[in-house]
Amino acid sequence: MIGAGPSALVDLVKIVPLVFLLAVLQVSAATQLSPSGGAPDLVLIAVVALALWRGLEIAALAGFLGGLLIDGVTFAPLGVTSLLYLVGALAVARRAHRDLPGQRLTPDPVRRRLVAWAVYAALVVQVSDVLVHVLLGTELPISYLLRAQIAPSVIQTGLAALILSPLLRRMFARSARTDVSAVAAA
Amino acid sequence: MLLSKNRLIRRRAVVGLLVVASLALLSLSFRQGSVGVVGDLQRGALSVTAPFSAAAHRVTRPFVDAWHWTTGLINARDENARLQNLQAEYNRIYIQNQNLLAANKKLEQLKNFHSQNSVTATYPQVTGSVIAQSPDVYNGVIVIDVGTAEGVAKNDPVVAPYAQGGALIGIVVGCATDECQVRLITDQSSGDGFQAKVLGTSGLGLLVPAAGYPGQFSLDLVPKSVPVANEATVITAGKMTGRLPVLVPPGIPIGRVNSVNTTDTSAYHQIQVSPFVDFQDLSYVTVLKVPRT
Repeated sequence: MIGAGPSALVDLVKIVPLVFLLAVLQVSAATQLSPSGGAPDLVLIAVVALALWRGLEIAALAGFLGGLLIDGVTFAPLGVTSLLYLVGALAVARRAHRDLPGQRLTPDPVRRRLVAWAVYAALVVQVSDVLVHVLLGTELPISYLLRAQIAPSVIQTGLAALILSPLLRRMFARSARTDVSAVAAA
Repeated sequence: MLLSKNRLIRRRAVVGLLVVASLALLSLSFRQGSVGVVGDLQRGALSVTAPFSAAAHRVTRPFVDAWHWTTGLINARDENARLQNLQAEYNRIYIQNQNLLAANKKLEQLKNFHSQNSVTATYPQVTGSVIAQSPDVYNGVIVIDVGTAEGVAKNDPVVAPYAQGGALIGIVVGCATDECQVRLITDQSSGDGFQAKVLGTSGLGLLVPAAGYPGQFSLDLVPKSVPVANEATVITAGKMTGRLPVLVPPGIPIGRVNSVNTTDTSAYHQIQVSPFVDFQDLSYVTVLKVPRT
């Protein structure tokens, strides 16, 4: 979890407006800029950044709130997007920190890393989205979904991650904490 | 280590709680639809985000417009290329159609000439296409695709279609089995001229290419006593004079009177004649097979 006291408050002050802003942008502007169906998943990019640099709990919480906001605004069944963002955060956090001793979180100096993780998370989220909608009774052909939703969204999310990467790094990477238990173990 | 274990438990608890909350909301959504707690949440989210969405929409609108403009340009370029191809194809078909229309018109005129002109009733004829034409203005010769095989012989007169029928354009000067050369009457070296007359009058004259007026004729030696009006039709009246006189059937139209000048010092009219046929646009001709005895 976030470090104690003021650090947690600072993170909260950063994360809540960020997720709110990205969710609003995602439903109001991003869909209009999409050239070929789908849309960049801006909230997911923030969730990925948090999963990389703040840990799974924060990322999951941000994803849950962001998803709830998006579902509420778009009148979609509440909880679907939250669930998808939780899956995305879980997928990134588990894989990104697998090889780090003591699950130590370190700032990632390479910008492309966030983009790669964002693409990976977008793929996971999109595939999960298809599964969820299939379970909920959607009967759209997979080929159509692949062409009109999955591929464009993944690509556009990667591009958006490239643009948002400097901002997210500035907001979260520099003040990344070091896990106390890992330091103690070392 | 204990701290880490606690943290792991806490992490699982948080994630599990959120997953359960998501599933609960999902179930609630399907159970309640847009009423109750879910509806309140949706309306609340909408009312909270609406001003921000409106602001974001307003702020991003220029960028969205710019994006649409750019993609529209790209689409327009593609569309432009497609339309250009279409236009080229259309032009090709249009030209083809125009050529066919022109050919059809000329053939129609020839048909009219055959059915209306008494000359064609007198002499057998054969229709052919112009397959070659002199590229310069000095040599007024064309090549047609009918020859001795079709009964065409040297000195046969050749007519071509125009608006009201057919008009004399030349004389066959040489023949092979399947082709013949035709010297146009506008050619300065076509001979000393034809005997011609203004339709409706008795005065004979000599039709020769007008010196200094390419493509025009002079009808000479028409006495001043014969009244000649502008726009009157000039027709053949007999033989072609020259070193080797050629029989040209009388009554074949040639052109119309363009101008008539009369002077006190001359006993003849000075008559200028414009040909009916456009000699720059010869494609189909009819050869009158005049019997030689």
